Amino acid sequence: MIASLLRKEIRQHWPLLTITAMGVLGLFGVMYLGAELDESVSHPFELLQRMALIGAVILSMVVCNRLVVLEYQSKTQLFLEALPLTRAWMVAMKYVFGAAYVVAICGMIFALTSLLAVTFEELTLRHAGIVAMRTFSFVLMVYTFFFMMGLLGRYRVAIYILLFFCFAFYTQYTSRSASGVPVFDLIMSSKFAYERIIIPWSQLAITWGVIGGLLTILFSMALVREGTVASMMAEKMSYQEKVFISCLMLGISFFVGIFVERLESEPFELVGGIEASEGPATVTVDGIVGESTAGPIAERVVSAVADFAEFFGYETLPAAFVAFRADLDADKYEQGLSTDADSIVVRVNMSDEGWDEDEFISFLVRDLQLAQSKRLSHLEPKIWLSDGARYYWAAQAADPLVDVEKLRLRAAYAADCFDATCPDRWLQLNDKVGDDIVSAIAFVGLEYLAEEYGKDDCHAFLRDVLSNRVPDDFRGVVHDGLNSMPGLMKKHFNTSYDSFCEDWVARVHELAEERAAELQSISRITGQVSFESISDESRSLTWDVEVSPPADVFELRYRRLEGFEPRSGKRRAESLRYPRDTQGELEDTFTIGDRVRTTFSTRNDVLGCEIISGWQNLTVE
Amino acid sequence: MNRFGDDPQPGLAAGSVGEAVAAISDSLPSSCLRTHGLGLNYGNVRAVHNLNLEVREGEIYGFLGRNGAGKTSTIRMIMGVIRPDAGEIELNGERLRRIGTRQKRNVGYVSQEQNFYPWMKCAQLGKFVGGFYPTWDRAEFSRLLHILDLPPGRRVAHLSGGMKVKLALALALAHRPSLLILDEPTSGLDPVARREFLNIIRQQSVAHGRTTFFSSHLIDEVEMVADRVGIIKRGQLCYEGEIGLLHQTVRKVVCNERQPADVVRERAIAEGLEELDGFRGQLDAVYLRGEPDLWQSSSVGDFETSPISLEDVFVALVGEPTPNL
Repeated sequence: MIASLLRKEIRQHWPLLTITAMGVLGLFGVMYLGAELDESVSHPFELLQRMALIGAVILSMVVCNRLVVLEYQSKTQLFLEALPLTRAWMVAMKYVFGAAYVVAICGMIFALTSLLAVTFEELTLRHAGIVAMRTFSFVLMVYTFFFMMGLLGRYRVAIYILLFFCFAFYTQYTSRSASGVPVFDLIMSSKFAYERIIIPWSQLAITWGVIGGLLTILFSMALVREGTVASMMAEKMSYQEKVFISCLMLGISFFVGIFVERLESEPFELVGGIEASEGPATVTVDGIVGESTAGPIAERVVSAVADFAEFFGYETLPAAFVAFRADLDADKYEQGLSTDADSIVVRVNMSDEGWDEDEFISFLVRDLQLAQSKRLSHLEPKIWLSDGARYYWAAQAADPLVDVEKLRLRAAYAADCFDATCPDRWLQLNDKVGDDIVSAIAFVGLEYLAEEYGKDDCHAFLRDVLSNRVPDDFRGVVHDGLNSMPGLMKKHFNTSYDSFCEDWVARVHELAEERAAELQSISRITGQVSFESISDESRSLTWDVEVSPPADVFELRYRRLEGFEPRSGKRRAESLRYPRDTQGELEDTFTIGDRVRTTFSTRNDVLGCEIISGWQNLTVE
Repeated sequence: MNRFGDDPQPGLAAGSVGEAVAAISDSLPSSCLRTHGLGLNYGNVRAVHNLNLEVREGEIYGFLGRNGAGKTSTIRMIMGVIRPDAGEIELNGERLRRIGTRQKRNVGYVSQEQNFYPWMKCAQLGKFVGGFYPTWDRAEFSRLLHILDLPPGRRVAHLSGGMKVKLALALALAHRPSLLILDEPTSGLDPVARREFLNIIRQQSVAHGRTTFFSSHLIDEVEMVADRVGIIKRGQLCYEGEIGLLHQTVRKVVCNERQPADVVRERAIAEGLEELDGFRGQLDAVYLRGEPDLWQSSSVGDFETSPISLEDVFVALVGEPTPNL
């Protein structure tokens, strides 16, 4: 009986099963090649993670559609029911057959990524086991969900769309990411590829609980009222039903989009802070530095931020909290962690002698602008605009907050690193030259646009791109695609994006030629780090640095990287003296497999900012 | 033996009918299928109620009833596809609330609609179905395909309605079941195909002595093949017995000035006869029902009667009064 059913399923579905298997493997191949080309994957298991998220979902949807929907729509389940076979057994056989197929395909992907991982590191059984548990539990949950949805017959597509909307609304209106949901955390966690020790029991338990719940619903639907519910669901939708469901879904999406207020999260509270408000701007400065210091800072900063908001047409802006941290240098601003999307927190040392309020304001407005755009302006290739806008705005003020000549010199300093491909790979350029210099290059680009096409057009362009025009609902998903940089350039300046990039590069190189003499005297810092073995597992970091012309003080900065978070991690810095410390060894030690991000940096007074040797991502071997 | 159903005959409780049947059954061929107080509800709608039928070994039992009378529901309960809300099913001496896969293996079933996999070829379908029956006879299936003129290599999607029914019959017979259940198999067939199919049913019953439970709403086809009939009305069995005896139970009494309809009705009811719904209200005749013994002892039997067809008997039994428009 089992063999007969299995033979039937294979004979009926083998073309589709073969095509989907090849499709999934092809998708894996494309992902692998893509990852190889753009080096976007740090561990082969990240490919497995992506495949589980995309491939398994598509695979399960297709397989369940064939196994369940086709059977019930063609009413062939009635034929099976008349055979010596219970309904539960029939459904269970289908479920197991489909699950075995989906798991087998994912098993192949798992095996391939494991093979890649073996060449990448010494893969332990425990590590592979943890990844396998995460993957297969998630895949089974997804498969079970789609199998259950298959029994909903004609309503399944409407429910898929509704669930998509609900999910989009959930993430949109609660400012929570999908990975915050435990069942998704299992697969979307940044630790997915890297967790070698800890088995995520709680997430696994939740996932298996969900699988159990889905199976209960699934079998209830298949068996309740002698299977008539599933049979009725499989009937084709009537015209009236189609109209009703379409209207219902449109109504729900419009209702939620228009009337449901975004859930407000609890604002950050800076105890004892001095608050100042002006227009959409609110700035609270830590009162620990004294009311006489904090009050004026708050007033001046809020005034500048309000001006910034007016310049870019922001009707609302996140609140800014400026906290005090005594051990920071005056020119160092530490972005605090805030789970509240409606505010930003910055730690600074405003009592330091070298405190430059104008510099801080041009830093703060960029952070506010990023938060305001829900970090959408932090996406390549538009990120250069938000980097340049802070200086562009600061230079437009009646009493400019920045020294424009210094900005031009900064851009000229990095001319060798800047070519026409950089605007689309802005973060890479940022890694090479640092925040301050990359922003100066962006400023020169905007300055070029203002000179070439007029300030008004440039202003309108910036407002168009950076003001909060991104819809707050599902339309935001397609907004970026419809407002690409080439399209915006054409719209505002009637020029192509490529030709602008070439002109911009030419301008930066012209500046470099014009100010070659000044640049000769500005230090350049280069260096190398390497890892020395101190035991089987431990390594020490040694460095070799050169600053030419020499500078007094420089820093070795480093961070341990978490999986999937190349820019996060606790940053540490080792302050060193030149030339005494051009070579040395860190006290901190590392373990094989650690990923470390390092750079050398030094403050340059001529440029008025920090110069770096360029961030490097290294894996401890 | 013939009997009227429980409800239409006041004074005979369900239990007493069952006991009477059991008492007499020793002298008759043993039962292949029996239902005991079978009941099924769809929400508030009573589809089948207190159904007691008996199919004896080797006979063709015609299960008659109007559309929606409860025939298919009864068959689906007998086949174990749906669970009865009340009562039990006795199959080959085994009494169960719902028959399981083991009992199903002794039953061949041809449903009203053939929901075969359209992509399968006839032979493939046989191989697939054969996997569910330990007694499956491949040679018999091939023989049946040949006899029924079904090309083994043809896909189900390319078969005509009549061919699909024949294929269903071949599938139902190839595992040599002790009971063959046919649920309105001829609906949708043209007259020639219908006649051909009924001949096959008759032949296989005679040749193999196979018990056949044949449901239909067409009285003539049941008359052609059935040894005994059961007539179901609104989920209740209102007659079970031989077809010939049915003529003796229902009579059309002619009414005229000498024997007015009112007088006939009054006397018939007083003597335990029952007027049937199907032709109720007619002035020229009264359709009455009663056991042959009752007719013999009744003075109404002396009135002038007119011969009626089996179809008239059926309409009289299961029909409703014609509404006045």
